[in-house]
Amino acid sequence: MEANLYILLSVAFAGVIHSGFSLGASMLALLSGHSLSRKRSHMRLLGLTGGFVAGSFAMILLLLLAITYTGLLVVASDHPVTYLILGTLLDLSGLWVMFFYYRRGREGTALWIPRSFARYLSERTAHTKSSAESFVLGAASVVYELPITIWLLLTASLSVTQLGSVLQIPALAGYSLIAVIALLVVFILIGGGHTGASLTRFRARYKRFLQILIGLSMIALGASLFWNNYYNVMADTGMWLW
Amino acid sequence: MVTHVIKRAGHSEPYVESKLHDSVEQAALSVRALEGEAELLAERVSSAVTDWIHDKAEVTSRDVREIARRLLDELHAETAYAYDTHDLSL
Repeated sequence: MEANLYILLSVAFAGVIHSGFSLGASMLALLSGHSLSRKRSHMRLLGLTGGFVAGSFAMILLLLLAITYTGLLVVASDHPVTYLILGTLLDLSGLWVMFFYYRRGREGTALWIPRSFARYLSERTAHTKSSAESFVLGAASVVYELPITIWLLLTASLSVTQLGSVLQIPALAGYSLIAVIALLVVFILIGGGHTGASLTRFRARYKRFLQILIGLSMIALGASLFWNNYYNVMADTGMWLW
Repeated sequence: MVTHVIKRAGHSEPYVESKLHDSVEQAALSVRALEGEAELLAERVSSAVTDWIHDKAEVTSRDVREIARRLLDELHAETAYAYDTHDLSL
């Protein structure tokens, strides 16, 4: 019971960290701005932004299911060294996020992604007319951030495999829902009459704080994996490394 | 005299007031300005920029952007922010 609670909390914490990554929120703010500038109705705007959030949720859940039920078949998910490697990669990613996630010396919320990718995403977002297109864009926003978020998805998948089969799917759905909370907040604010520009301004003001918070959280999660799933196990068995 | 705008990538093209007008209007609409207000804002900014460049053979797109941004700052700060950062959000 206590072990399950610890695992569920780890999955939830990884989801919270995932929700802090900004590409989806930036694209959602951009999508709302372009929709308004093209004089689309409020219902149309909600359809587009809702489609985007649903696409992000679906892609995160699909990736988690794929990793958990196929990808981990080839990884020794119960081996302490797996956690040693994953914890190290989480810590390195956390450090990278703290220094490089937002571009330095730029106004707004310009991210690390290559400029050609950013231009392509901006153009596609600007020309999105249907909810189906915005659904695909939402899914794409998750894929573009995979080089960093993959370690969080792996952490959640590895943790979930230690739960009973009844809890696994709800835990993965829970992660997906938590990971899109920031998008849901943006969706609600846009629905309530806020503009993409005002949200971007708010996020730009706090971007360095958010960047450090996400980086430190990833490092803490990595350290926790190392401590609980590698160090303690190895100390108990008296066997180190392999 | 036709003024040429030197773009960020290095090439130049003739200055077209309607392009600036449209981008300011879109920025204003994107922050939920009323249609009439957006139109008026775009008209004032594009006219002022056209006046500023009429005796110049060449200007950079950065100059045009900066002048438009300063005018918008005085007229409608939220539009100014949207105009200035629309390509800096990803």
